[in-house]
Amino acid sequence: MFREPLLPWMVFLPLAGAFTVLFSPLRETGLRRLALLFSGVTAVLGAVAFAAFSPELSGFQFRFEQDWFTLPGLDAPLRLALGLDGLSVLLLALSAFLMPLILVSAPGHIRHRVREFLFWALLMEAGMIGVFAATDLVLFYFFWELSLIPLYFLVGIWGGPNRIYASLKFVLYTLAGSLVLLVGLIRVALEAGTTDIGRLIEADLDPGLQRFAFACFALGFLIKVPVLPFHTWLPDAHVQAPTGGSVVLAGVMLKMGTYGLMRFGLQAFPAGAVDWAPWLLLLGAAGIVYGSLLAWAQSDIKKLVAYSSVGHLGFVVLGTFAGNATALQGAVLQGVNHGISTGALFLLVGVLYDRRHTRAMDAFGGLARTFPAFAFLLVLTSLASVGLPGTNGFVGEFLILMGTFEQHPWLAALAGLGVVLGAVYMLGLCREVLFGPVTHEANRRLEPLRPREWAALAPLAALMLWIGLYPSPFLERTRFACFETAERLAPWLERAGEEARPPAPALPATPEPELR
Amino acid sequence: MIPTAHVHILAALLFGLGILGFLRQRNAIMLLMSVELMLNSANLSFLAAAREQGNVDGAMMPLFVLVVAAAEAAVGLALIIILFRKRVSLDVDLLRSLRD
Amino acid sequence: MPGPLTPSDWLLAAPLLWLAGGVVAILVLDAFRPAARHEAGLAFLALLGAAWSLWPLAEAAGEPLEGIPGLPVRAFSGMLEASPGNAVVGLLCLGAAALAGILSLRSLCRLESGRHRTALWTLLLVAPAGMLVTLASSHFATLFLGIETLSLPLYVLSALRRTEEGSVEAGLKYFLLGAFASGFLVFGMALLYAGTGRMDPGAVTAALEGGALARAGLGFLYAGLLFKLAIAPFHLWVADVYQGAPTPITALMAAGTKAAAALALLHWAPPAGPLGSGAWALLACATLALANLTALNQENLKRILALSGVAHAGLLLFALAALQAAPGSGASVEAAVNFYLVAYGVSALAAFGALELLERRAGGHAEASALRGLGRRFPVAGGILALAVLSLAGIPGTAGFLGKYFVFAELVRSGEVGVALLGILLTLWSFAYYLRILVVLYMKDAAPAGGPPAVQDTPAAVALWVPAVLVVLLGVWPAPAHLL
Repeated sequence: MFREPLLPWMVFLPLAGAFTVLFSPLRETGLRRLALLFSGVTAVLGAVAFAAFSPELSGFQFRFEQDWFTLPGLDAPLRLALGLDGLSVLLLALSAFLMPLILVSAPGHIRHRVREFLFWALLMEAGMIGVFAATDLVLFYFFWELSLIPLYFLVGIWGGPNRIYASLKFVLYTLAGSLVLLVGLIRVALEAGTTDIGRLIEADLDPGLQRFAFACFALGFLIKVPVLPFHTWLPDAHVQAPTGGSVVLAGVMLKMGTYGLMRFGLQAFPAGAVDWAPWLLLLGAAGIVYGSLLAWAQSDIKKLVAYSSVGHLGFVVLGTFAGNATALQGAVLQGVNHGISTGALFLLVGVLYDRRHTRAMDAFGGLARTFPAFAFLLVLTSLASVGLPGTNGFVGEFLILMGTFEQHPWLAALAGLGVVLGAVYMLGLCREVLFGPVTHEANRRLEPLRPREWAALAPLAALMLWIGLYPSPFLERTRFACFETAERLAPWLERAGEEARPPAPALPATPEPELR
Repeated sequence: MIPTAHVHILAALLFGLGILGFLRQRNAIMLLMSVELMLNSANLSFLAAAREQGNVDGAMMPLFVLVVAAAEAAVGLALIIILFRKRVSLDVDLLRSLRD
Repeated sequence: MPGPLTPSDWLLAAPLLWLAGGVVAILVLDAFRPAARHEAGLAFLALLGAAWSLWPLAEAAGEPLEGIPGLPVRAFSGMLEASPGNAVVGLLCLGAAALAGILSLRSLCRLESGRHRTALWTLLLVAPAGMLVTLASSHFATLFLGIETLSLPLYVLSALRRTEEGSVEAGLKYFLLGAFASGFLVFGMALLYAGTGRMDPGAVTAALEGGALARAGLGFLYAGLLFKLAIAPFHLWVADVYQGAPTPITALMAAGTKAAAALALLHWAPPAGPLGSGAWALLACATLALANLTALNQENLKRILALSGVAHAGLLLFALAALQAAPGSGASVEAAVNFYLVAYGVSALAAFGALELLERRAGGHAEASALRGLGRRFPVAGGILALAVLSLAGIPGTAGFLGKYFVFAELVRSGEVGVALLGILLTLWSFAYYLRILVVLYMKDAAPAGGPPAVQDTPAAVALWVPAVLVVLLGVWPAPAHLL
């Protein structure tokens, strides 16, 4: 009964909220509450979607369809088509869940032009939720770019001193990818005659088209993720972005890339995915090691967290293209985990920055004694980020490594090295910041965590433990989709394997039935 | 009777002269005259072709062209007068206030 | 042969008669009872009447052409020819003139204590008449007359601020180069006629099969048309003219002239085949690259937007390349071009209109340094300019995106995927300057206010909402107009 209108409401509420905030006569505090109300209701709907999602069903659930308009050259009209399946349900819930937390924590770092901030934040939320809910290719692209422009403004207006450069770089990189994606999209739409994602997946497109489309789409997604050679925009954007922007960027934006790789790369264009998988696996593994090494070398905490993202997302890419259901499931879950733990890390960095206006690691030390609540949260989040058993990170990384090991033991070993490196730099961070003597007087009088900071951090901490200790609600919701995707990939993998092997002895020629 | 080709050659020469004048001259009035020369060379071509084709379509065009040329001259001279009032010069090279 | 006017003659003549009637009425009124309000009223009445009489044709847009007898409409023994989609572009031209008029009410109308009022209103009616003729032209006579009728008023209107050096310079430059281009246009027509004996678009086909004379004529004809459309080697005048002309007039030029010239080019484009798509694609890429390269170094927002218009005209040529590569795609290419023109037109109107309002607040300056931070101080005008810029950039949710989508879809459909990739990456380049406008508006601290305080201009502020709403509406729900 509530299933059909659920997703449209989740997209519409933030959108309506954005414009309500823009034109509302309220002042600052009222506006913040209003925006929080809109995103809070959306988050509740997201929780409902997560809870009511039935793990046993194949295909899209909560489907909503409405004819939109017809593009020339296509038979079927474009549709405002929304739906959820195992690949998207977790990410959708995460996007809806993160935004209220960001709005709650925002007064700490967004002190001017609040109305505009709330407008862009809510608009971005609509875009992000739409990306995960869209089951029409063109609609997906609409939301994909709709979420980009708000982040441009968030970084460009409320960012650090180098914000204009960083935001421009971020937008140009992402757009380069999405424009190429657009050409691929146009060709797929014209040759398949449909833009419905479900039908595209079922359609078994021509392999040549699949390869072309995969190359176009993957470029867009790889830049967004970002995977190794395309990652240079990420540290700039993260360091310059305000805390809220960083949280969204790490928590959801990057996941749009990995989600796209799974949805389109694997599901719709498996032939292309199999062709490119070896390279992407290599890039993923290289990203893990490279990101970790760079993170290790940073002295700015935010940069460290930003580079750690490159490493974590390497894991996700590895799991995506490992070619089996276990790794894929791990990749889906790890995407969510990264959103939670890195989001929390950025919030924690924000907590420090609000108090000391610096993010240099050596400006801190001994906070475990002077700022115990913070220390507890930082340790917990670091452990989750490292993947200690009992936290969410462990479940995801373990599944990815296990799945990858079956097919590509060497890559799994390389990734395992990345886990170790991750532990080295994250624990190094904890040591520098939390332990040792208090070197700066200012650190003795740090203001304790405020209620709104607790309100933003505690739910994330709870989620880390929940997924770590009792992951089955999350895993069972993704299982079906992951297995189906892997099954769809299997024949292409086999075919690729056959081609790689020396050709089998020729079968006795069977005469072709002649057509008369 | 003069062969049509010869008329076209004359028209082309006049047209070329017009282009050359437009590109070489710096006096606004001379530029205007060069353009008129170009338009009129086209008229010549039209008339010659109309005579050869034996239909009036081509003979009609010069009328339009002449009317438009008159209008252009009116507008152009008005603009040139404004320029002259401001600058006391007709040199188009002085037109360089618009740039970044 | 000449007989009574047929219904289709009347259909295409009616808008022109409304506009011409408006001109006469204004001139007569001015002779007897000069009154500012009446002249403006008459001008808007004439524009409204023209739009009203064009509406029955425009209404059929979106229906498949084969289904309706008598379409496209051919009038005056085939000298004019218009499809419903062309009529919608015609409505855009009329709307552009109306918006230019509304933007002028409190500025250009009061210039030199209202001395140029009559000229302004009559010329604002003549220019769209020329545009309507141009975009429906299917004979040398109508093509030439249309282009001249739209150009001559614009030469004058560009120079309307005759006390300002920039305005005079813009008018004179536009005039000299425009007249030069007309020379090419007419001479090309003469040669085509001499070579083929025809004066309708069939001359183009015949010329491609004919001798050197006709081919040379074709070259001259296209040089003339490409000048009006401001395609690469002929685009140098655009930045200067757009910058120097009063901004309302710039808006009219950007939306109207470009649309009329583009449709004329489409009418007179060679049919698929001999010329090949390569030439058009090359021209398109060169235009995009040159325009983007130049725009990156501009300080003046009007110049940036002018060069963005050049880039958009270049993008439009991709549609012609698609037409060349895929014979028989004429109807859908025309639909794409029509939509693109309307999308670009409303975006450009919103952009220049909003810029005009901001410019007044900045003491008449359009330099980036003068407009710093104004997006915040004047949220409506700033927001509309930002929206228009996003549409020009082609962000989904705006008309510009679908325009871009349609053109590139035609290109991909014709098999030119490589060209499409190259073209779309060239558009990426343009984001650098579009985003710069947003930076100027929103990410810089406000400049100290300069100049005398601007007049409160309610009509303009209200009228600006129309193109702004259209930008969004055509972007998210193009159903009424998607198959122009």
